[in-house]
Amino acid sequence: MKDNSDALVINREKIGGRLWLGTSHYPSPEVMLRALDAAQPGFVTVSLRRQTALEVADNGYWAGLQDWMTASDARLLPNTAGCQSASEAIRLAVMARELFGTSWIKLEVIGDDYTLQPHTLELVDAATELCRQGFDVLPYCTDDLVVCEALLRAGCHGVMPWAAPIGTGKGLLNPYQLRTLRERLPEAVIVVDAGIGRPSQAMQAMELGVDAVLLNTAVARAHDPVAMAAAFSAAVVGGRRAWAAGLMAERDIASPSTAVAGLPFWHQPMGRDA
Amino acid sequence: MDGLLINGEATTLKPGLTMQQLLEELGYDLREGRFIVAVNGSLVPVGEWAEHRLNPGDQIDILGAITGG
Repeated sequence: MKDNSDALVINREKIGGRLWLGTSHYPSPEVMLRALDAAQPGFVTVSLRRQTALEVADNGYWAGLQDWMTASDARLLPNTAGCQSASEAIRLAVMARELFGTSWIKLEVIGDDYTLQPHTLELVDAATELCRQGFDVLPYCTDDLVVCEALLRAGCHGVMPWAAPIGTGKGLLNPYQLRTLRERLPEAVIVVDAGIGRPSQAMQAMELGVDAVLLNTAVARAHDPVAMAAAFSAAVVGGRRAWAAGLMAERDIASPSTAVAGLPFWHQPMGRDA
Repeated sequence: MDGLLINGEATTLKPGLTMQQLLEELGYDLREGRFIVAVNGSLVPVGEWAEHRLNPGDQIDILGAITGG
């Protein structure tokens, strides 16, 4: 069930869902499409690479995705995965806009091959130029508040901090920092991107008040990707509703849920104890 | 280098062809939207393929859609 009373709007565009899904690592195009059906994602990420004539002609994933997109209100979100400098990312973004026919771009500039940590300095440079060229930029970034502020000043429509390194499934390594981002950037679109491994982790992110969650491997590598997509969808909706409902404040001291006053037999000798 | 570098590989294909002729020679399906082409890192829009003539040493990238995260 879609809840349109709490729609996500980015740059005046209503986004169809708060779970965003990648398209890599699925066992087949058919399973990918059924997982997309189950997730009903707001954005679907894709990329582009060198291809031979045969690879272009025999591209079942892309052909299937194109058909699926025509019957969906999801948007394509091309990425610049693999780029390691601002100039590479800008060039690939221009190619992506031409190929996919959209100005939305998931801007990735990687600074470290081992952790796939974003190169935040190059990222801000690339974002500044792409925003100037009219792209709708959603940057994959770290959870650094100052970097996120710089990306928003550059004209990005939101920020997409990692929860943990891409593909690790470790969940929210620094929930304090994500909470800080939400508190300090109350009007910004914040999407947790990368590192989510379980529906409970997606729900935790949404409970912190982020606007959406982007993930791929946790669904695609599940034993049953279609069922897992549905599980993530439910978790994201549940987390969002919990955030909107207002979570209770955590406390260190136990407090009974049931009233103590009026408990019968209080301090009265009974039975054997009499 | 006198030949053309296509998707990072040196070829014996000679310059002088138009982009359209090159793509047909390589067997690409020319239906619009299947792939895009860059020469020396700059996009060559579909509408310019018939006129764009290739020069010695041009580096040509032919990019199609793939899955991504």
